[in-house]
Amino acid sequence: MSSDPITGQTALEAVGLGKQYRRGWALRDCTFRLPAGRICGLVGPNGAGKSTLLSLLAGLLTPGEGAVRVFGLGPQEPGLRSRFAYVAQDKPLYSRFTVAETLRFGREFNPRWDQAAAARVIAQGELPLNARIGTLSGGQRTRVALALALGKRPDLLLLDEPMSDMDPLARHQLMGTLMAEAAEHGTTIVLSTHILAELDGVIDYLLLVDKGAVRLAGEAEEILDAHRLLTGAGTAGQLSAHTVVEERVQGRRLTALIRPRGPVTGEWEISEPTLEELLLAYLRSPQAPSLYTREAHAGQAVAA
Amino acid sequence: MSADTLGPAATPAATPWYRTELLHGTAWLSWRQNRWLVAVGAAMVAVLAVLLSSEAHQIDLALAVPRHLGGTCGVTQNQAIPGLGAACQHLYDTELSHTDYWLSLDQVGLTGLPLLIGMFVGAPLLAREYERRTHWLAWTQSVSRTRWFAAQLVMAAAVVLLATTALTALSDWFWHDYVASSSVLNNYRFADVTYASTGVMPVVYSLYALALGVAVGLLLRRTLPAIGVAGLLTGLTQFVLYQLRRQLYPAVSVVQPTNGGNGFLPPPGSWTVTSGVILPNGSRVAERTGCTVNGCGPIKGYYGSYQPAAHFWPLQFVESGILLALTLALLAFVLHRVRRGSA
Repeated sequence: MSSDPITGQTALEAVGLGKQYRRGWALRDCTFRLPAGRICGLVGPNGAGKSTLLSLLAGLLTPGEGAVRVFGLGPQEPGLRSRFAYVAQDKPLYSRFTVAETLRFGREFNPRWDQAAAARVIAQGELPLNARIGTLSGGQRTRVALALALGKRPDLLLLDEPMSDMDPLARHQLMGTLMAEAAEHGTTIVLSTHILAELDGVIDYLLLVDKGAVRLAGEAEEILDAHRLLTGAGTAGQLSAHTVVEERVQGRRLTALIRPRGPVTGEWEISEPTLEELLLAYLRSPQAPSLYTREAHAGQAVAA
Repeated sequence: MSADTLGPAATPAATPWYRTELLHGTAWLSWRQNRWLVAVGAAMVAVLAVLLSSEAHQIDLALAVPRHLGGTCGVTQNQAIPGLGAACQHLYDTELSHTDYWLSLDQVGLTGLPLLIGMFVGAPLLAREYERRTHWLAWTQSVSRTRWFAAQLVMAAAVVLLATTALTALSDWFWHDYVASSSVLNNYRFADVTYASTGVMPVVYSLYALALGVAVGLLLRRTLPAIGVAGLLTGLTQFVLYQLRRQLYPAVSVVQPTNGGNGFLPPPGSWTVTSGVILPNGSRVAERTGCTVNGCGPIKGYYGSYQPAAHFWPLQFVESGILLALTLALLAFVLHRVRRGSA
């Protein structure tokens, strides 16, 4: 099923997606598209709605409004369950099971189970197979949860803060494993994080969620390309021709992140922002208009 | 990844003595999660079987003596047979000492068992999953929520059904063979714990308590509060049905003439529902108003209604019907919520 995921197929599509809790809307009017085969970074501050979005995509929450399609299917449709894997933020596992029993659980519950792939992830962390899950450290549990997810051979991997409790070495290792998985099988990966450094050189698609709304959606490169970081002694007024995301005055120098609309005039040092600079600028400026690349526009296929 | 980097991780887990490879899919998971329940159920049945058999054996030994002497014990006891009196006395003592304690314990246990099942089997079934959020783990595998839940429920229900049936059968066997047939023991079947621990009562109450516990766990999503509330509600159901029990089947109403101040006398082995006196003007005064048999002056007679011994099974079936209907309603609710609800 994962044979030809690249060519224009849509992995995820959300239209007007919203979820309300008693405290208010956790996610509101969320519309975007994710083509298959991408590695998508789902970023945003704590409480932005990242986990809610992932749970909605996994069919674990029912949307308050709007709809979501995964490979063209509703999240509750039976054919879909075997095609995606989901690792929740707290990595729930049966704490009395051993590592081997947890893998057995994966095998018993998934027809496409790949024991070798799962065992590789376990072996990489040198986890004894007869260790009880309850005795493992947080990072080790994460490894087992990821092994379970990879062993499922999914077409879509939804990972909620996957590496937050792992040491840098393990994090690097597992990122490598995920990348290899994606490259080899064309797996679409969505991983949420608020550690922006985790994403550099890994993701090729970006979804910035803030206060329950999508701020940026699309090809990471295209989004970066659409922005310029300006530093200089100019004044803010000179930039009015462009979309200004953020301006900051440091001493006599002005630093601004803009989306240029035409040539930039004035005495500026112009550079392309890094992913981290871009994301921070947007998070600091809630009023900045959101940006979708062409790929990220949700089609009409999803009807609420 | 080459094989030599596996190191200690390559050591296979110890193979358990039982071959669980026989089970697959959801059945394997519910076995793995509930094998303690199977063990506890089997142990309870084994313990009761051993206890009651040993008691039965003691009584059998005492019974054999008068039989060997060629006589029977009881009111028609043949006084001419030497030693029969002593043998019968021994038999009575044995029956009393070997039935009273264990039978009471067994009957109270069977009456209270549904409470424990609701609390410790039903309530944690879903609450434990919600609390540790492992339901998210199960619900994002390739198996549907319905199949996962059905496997969990069927496993628990099967163990509860088999264990309570076996326990009740043992208890009923002992009661029938050694208590009901005895001449000295109280063999009144409508006695509170006797009624609640015989026939279909323990099985039906246990299944109901299981469903109730599961529903409470689903709603509360926390194990400890669910255990408490499930116990409370199961106890409340038992209490309410205990109060209603006598009225669950049409009683036989009779009027009796004054019989020398003995009051209303239902036939032996039956269960009085209402009783009172009839005054000369024809009005009826219930005994519970405080008008005792002789306290109301001259009376015309007694009235009363009772459940005869023959109503034992109809009463049990009506009560079971109510409980099974509630059980099915609870399970339908739980199934609907598991299938459709947000996690």
